[in-house]
Amino acid sequence: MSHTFQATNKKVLGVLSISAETKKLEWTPVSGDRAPINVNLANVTNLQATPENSAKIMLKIVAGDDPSTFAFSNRGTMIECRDVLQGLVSRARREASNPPPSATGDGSSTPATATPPPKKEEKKVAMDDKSLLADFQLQQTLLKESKELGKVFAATVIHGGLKPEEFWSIRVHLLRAFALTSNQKKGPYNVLSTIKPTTGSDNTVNVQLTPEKVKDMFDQYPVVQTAYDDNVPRLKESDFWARFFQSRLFKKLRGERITHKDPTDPLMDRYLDDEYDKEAALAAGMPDKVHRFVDIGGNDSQAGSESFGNRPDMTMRAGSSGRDVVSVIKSINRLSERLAQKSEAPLAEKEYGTLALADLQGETGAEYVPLQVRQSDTNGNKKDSDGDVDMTPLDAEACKEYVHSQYDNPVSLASLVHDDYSADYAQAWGNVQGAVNQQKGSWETVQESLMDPKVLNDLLVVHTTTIEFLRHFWHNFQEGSAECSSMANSLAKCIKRIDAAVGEVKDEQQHKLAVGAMASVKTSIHHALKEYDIALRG
Amino acid sequence: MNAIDGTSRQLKDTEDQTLDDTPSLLSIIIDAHVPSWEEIKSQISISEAVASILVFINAHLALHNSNSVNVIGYNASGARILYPPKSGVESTRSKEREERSESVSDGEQAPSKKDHSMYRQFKTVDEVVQTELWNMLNHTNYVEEEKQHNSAISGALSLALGFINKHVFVDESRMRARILLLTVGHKNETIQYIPTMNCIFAAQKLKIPVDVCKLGPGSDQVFLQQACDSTHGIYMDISEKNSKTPKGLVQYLLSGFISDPSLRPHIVLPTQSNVDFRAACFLTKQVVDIGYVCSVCLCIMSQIPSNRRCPTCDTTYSEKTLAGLGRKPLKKKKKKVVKP
Repeated sequence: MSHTFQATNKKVLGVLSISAETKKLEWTPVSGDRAPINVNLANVTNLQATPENSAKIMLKIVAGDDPSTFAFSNRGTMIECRDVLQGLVSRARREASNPPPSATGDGSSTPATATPPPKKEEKKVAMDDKSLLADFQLQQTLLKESKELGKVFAATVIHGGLKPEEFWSIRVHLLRAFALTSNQKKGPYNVLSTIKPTTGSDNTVNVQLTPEKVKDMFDQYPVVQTAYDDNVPRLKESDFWARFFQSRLFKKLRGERITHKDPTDPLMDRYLDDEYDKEAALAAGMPDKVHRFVDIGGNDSQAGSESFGNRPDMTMRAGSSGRDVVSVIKSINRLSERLAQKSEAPLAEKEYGTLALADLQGETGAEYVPLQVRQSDTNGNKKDSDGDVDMTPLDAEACKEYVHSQYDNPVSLASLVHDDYSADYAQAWGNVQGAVNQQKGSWETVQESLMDPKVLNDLLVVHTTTIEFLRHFWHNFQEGSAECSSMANSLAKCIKRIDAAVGEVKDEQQHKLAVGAMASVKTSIHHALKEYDIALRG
Repeated sequence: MNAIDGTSRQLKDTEDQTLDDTPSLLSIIIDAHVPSWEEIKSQISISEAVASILVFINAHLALHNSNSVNVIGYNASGARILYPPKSGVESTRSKEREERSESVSDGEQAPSKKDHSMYRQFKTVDEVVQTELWNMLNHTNYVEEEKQHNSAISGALSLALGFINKHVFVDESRMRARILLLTVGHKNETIQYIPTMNCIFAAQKLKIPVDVCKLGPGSDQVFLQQACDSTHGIYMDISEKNSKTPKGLVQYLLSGFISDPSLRPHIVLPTQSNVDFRAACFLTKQVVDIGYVCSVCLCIMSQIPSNRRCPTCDTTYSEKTLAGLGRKPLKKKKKKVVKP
């Protein structure tokens, strides 16, 4: 796209041409021996036009320290030239400072074949245990992220005197998972589909736009950026967007069908054709070898669908019919492809082919690892708790005799009924009642007098701390590490801490509950200390 | 009696079980391991226990005229259904139907002893259970049996669940079901962990309470406690070990275990509040309190397997991890000795 204007430079008539492709302004004299002027638009630092009421109609372009002034024959031409320059200069500057991902050096860049974005400097996070344990920043973010973990950390490391390395050593998996998730980056998404014009109460259409969305839009739909760059300083920003969101271009980009009812807008519709041109260019530049899977023409000739009278599906009809639909599908496909390319390294052609074909295959079943529960009979050397094999020889004869004796006096239900209520029955009834009462008691404690939330919270903290120390103790114990003795000391302290926490509960009922609640963890500590003692001695 | 009123708990229970006239199926599993009975013969004899159970069954049948019962016996060599008899559920059913239509025909099918003072249905059950149980007791080779330590409790539970499934869920008879396990338990008995747990989970899913009444001196049946706990059943240990005696068994059964499943949410159950939640090692079949767990399949081990692979899922453990675990305690010994 280039614009040409008649302009006079230093009294010599010439042609001023501005090319969007090369981003150059060129003035060539019509006659005479004056040298042509070349200005790189990216270097333009200042543009000045004579005010409207001035008699002179001139435009001053400052590039570097060499200003050139052009005079125009009428004001309209000058304004047009100025607007074009403004748009191109701002665009050229932006691109110079921030090279776009797709090489737009030539204006006819085709988005679908755009080169993949340059690999960003990816912060590779080391995933091995050592570097994870050394990454304090990561650990801190994780603590901030996960409140539960933060609490445990505060209770054990900050107040409990556990070494932070110890704390993390059994949580490397958490660190790794967190490092992985926090390093994942969000891929691009179709931004236009997220922009939904809403109708406000005063019957105006509102669109929410954020700078990020605008940036994404420019990224994903270069045509929008072109339109914006060409028009914006001339149009007001808000006007531009208002027109854009009502235009056929917007509809087309969103993948909606354009009807005759849609308002036309000469400004925006220019880019609509642009879009069509690109499509055409794309179609012309189709690869010679079409993968058989997507070869519509091939399908057609093979199936001979027309001759059989089964009209193929609209999307499968190559040619002019259903052009709108097909073009919509095409543009959406193109977008998806572009997004996919942006988010990932592009697939190799072969991979792409297998992917396309694998889509057609049914679901593959999950692969399971069979679990074989072997009922190996290891009871031959089974020992009872005393340690000696408990195999009192069975007196088979006695058993037989017993059965026979039982068989001889047949069961009599009446024998169970005694004249007086037997002591055994009374005792049985008493026992059942006792069990009921005990259960009832435990119900009531659970149901009616729930623990005071404050007490509960205190106990919870102590409990988590203790469990943490227990974990470390067993870890060290199994590994035979030297830390074990210090852990044992910590456990002894834990008992004191539990006792203190329980002792603080003054209310009798609550105290009882607290003792009950902490009983099992105390048993665990005692068990651990006992094991430790045994290990020490022998 | 007010003690068993648990209606205050009703609010907490989300399940809205309305009390209605639904009949229930009782599945009783009886320990038929003679040596165990012989061991506790000073406290209760088999015939006394059987009489108690029969009274209990009759009581259950008397509660609703569509209540039914299933009796299973087990010993170390296996488990079998004692009632309804093998000859076919069909015949007993037709018999019952006959009785209900009150056609008093003392035909060939009638029980041998003619005792008109007894309700016919009671009598059928009583006789069949007795005969089948004696059969079972007499035809067991105790010496052979003793070599097998695995108890067939899991088998018996499976049988009971299968029976319940067939008669309640497949036939879609509107019935509630529960299982009562009467076990003596002897010292050498090891309950198979996995099959038993599977039965427990099945019962839990089908909402079938599993009640356990333990009579003998054997070790605590950890898994049975868990069975009761997770199915909301009743666990009662009335052995001497628990400073109780099974002498008044019939009283225990009638006062503790008679409650219908539909009543359970409304009453306080005489169960045990402390439940042992320990699991068994897959290798040694022993109950463990501290052990190893396979990080892949959660298989429980009390020792590191000799071939360094998980016995269940065959995962090969990394040498590094195992080396860390294997190194038993500790090198600080010297320091400790120096101190005093």
